[in-house]
Amino acid sequence: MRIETVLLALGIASIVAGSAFVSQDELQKTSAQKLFAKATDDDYIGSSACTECHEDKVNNFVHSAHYAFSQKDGLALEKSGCEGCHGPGKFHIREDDPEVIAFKKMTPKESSAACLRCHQSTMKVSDWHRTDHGRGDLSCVSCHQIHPDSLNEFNEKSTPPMSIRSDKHLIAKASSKLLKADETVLCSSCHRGEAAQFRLSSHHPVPEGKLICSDCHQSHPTKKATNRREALKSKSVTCHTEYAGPFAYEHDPVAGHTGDGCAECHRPHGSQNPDLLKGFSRGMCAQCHTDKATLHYPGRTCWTSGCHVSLHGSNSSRLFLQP
Amino acid sequence: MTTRFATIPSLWALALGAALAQQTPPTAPEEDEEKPTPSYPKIDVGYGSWGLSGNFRTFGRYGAPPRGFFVRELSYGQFGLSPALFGEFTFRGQPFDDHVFETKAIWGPDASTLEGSIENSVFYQPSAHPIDESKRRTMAASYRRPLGKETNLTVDYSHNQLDTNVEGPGYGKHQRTNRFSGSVAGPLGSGRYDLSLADRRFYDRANFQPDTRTQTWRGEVLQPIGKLNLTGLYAHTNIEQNGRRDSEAKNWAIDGDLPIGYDLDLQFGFRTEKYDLPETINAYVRERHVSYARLNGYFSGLSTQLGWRHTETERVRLDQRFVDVPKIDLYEGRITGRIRGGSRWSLKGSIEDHNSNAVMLTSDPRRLYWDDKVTVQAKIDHGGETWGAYGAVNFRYMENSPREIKVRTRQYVFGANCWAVPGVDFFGELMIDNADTRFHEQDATVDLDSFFPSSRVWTMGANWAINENTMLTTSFTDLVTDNDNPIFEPGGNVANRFWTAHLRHRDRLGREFGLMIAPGKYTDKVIRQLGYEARVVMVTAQWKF
Repeated sequence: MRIETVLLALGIASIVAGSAFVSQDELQKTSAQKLFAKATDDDYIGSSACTECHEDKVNNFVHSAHYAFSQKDGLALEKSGCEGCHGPGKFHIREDDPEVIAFKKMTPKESSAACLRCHQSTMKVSDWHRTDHGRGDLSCVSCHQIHPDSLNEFNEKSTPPMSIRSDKHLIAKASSKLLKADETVLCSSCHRGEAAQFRLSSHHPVPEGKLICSDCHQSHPTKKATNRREALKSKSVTCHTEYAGPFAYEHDPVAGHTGDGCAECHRPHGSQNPDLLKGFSRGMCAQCHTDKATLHYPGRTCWTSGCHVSLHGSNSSRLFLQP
Repeated sequence: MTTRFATIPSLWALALGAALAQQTPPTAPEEDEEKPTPSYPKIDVGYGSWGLSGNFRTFGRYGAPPRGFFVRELSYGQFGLSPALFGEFTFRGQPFDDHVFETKAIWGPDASTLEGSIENSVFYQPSAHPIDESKRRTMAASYRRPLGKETNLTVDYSHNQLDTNVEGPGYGKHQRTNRFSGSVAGPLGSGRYDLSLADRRFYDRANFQPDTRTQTWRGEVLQPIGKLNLTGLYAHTNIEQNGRRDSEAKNWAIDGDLPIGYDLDLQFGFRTEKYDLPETINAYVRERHVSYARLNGYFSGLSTQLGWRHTETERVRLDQRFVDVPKIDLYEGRITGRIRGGSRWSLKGSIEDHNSNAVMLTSDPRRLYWDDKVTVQAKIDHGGETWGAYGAVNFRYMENSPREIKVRTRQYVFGANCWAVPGVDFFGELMIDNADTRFHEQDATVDLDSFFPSSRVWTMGANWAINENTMLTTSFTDLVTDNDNPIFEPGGNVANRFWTAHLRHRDRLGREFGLMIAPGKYTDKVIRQLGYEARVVMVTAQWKF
């Protein structure tokens, strides 16, 4: 047995042993957990009491996807109505030291943990923290809207911002109703550079409504079984299956040797070059194959010339020529 | 090779084992399914005209706006068709052109869900010569059922049918892909498990590619051990191709995160991929091993990250007689913060260093891959009561020293909006893309710079809430590509200008009427026949009951 294998086994054993003899230090609970933990049944006063001060919010909540669930018969008090998310009403209305779970005022970490009290079967707190959005210090309410603030989209303050979607292409996939806005609008409010690339002449058909961001990107784990990583090559082969291979002759950048996969040659959101390419025509190939840059059939593009048309991999030609 | 790869995770595991001394976190409360709200019957129809002159294949390259009578949305949702049943359907589009049909049913006390959809897309390859339309048709179905308080069964099926027609010398695609996947996920101790099977079958009706069946079994377990959250993953993929030996891929991964205090956490992981591709007869990656560690900290309103990733691959050489072990080290950092008054900013970057590169057995033995890559991204965003603005700069540098080539690309995006007049939101955005290259090939007669064009696209417009029932949205977009294009290829020197005005009026009964006018012009300066001019006009009417 090799020494490294022994080291690996020892390491794993030490993790298990280390956790078996854990100290009794209290794990730091989030504020939401603490609030619910100290509440008794008498501390819950029911959603109707909230209407007295928060009539708009309570009325708008009827249009939320959470509403039907929160009214379910037999639901535990700590999950019912307004108090299911915001905490026991009695704590909120007491004059000395009122306490409430106010998602907009909490830190992203605390706020996410409050939502994950119920959404644990979709993802654990650590699953969320490993996502790019979790690491970027965002919370669930950065993107999701539990009860709409205003139902009138014609209202001045809710005017739609500039969108990736083209108004001309009305036939489009709908995005999740739980989001604050149409998905492409929502994502582009932070990812400005990526959104702007869709205005270039070569782009994935997001402005035309054929795709939405979540068709390619997984912002957090979901219950869908389809969002699994492809074994070979990158996730792009889910739609572009013909490039999945394996091929008799693999092309290193496509096969993922360099680490970027499809993005080695393509700009997936949009490009000023045809076919979403990072470079134009034969310049794309010449940046690696410099020896073929000028004297190898100059004046022609490597693939539109009809020569290297199988650049993503070939089963018949080492030089990726026409099959 | 195995010894070297095993060292890194071994040391990680030893260090972490010593660091562990915390108690198991409390068990989380169970989750229940959510139900959607009832949606009202909705009819939204319209009539559209293109007013098109020029190349309709360029106009419809990604999908054309609807023409003639079309259904913008026909939807109906209903609770209580029988006890605890919810059902809804939505249709958008035209029967023989682009359309989307979606349906969903939720029933029973456990809120089992069945969803289905059909999508049809018609598009074209831009061409100066007549080419038939291309089509993609996707049918999908999904079933989800809780099998207990926290355990869920999910089954998905999709059929994807792609038929493209392209200009020679390329060849059209006529392929079908069926994908089935099923998974069971649920609690395991204080963590969870997830088991899945995915089966993908690819059929090429043009017979350029062999029919392929890809079957993947995957198991994942998340387990908190004290403060440490560990995820283990194993996936096995079998690939069958007609008339060929089977290929195989195996993936193992261990990922972990360890809170070190309240505002600091360490993430780490080790992944191994092994490929057995007996039919591949040129160079390919046989094994890949990735180790990474990342520190995330949250201090004084700043979110900071520092990370390192080490990748080693076993790459079989072109002649398949030897194996090289190229290594890549990636160092990355990110810092994000907020400034008083509603501004936020972020700066992130990475440096990628390639070592022990693979030996090239090509006619030119100089290495084909980048040996250094640097990326930098800076962003600032302000959102106030009366105005907002944002800016983003992306820089990327790549170098291949044996071939003396350097490529730098830059992208700038600036935008702003303001509510200078009550009820009116003005907005504007400018994006500039450019690149420069250093290329020292001895016999070079063309500079590589000629093949890295720059572009500029700007857009501006306004959202005007004329009154509480009427809204006008208008925008103008202008795109220009600056391309030397020494070999006169199409698609490289383009100008695209279009204006859109969309007026909507909603009456007191909730009925909405819309008028859209969208003139636009696309010009290809090299192949004029690819250009078009369109004057799209649409009227729409919507009723909700």
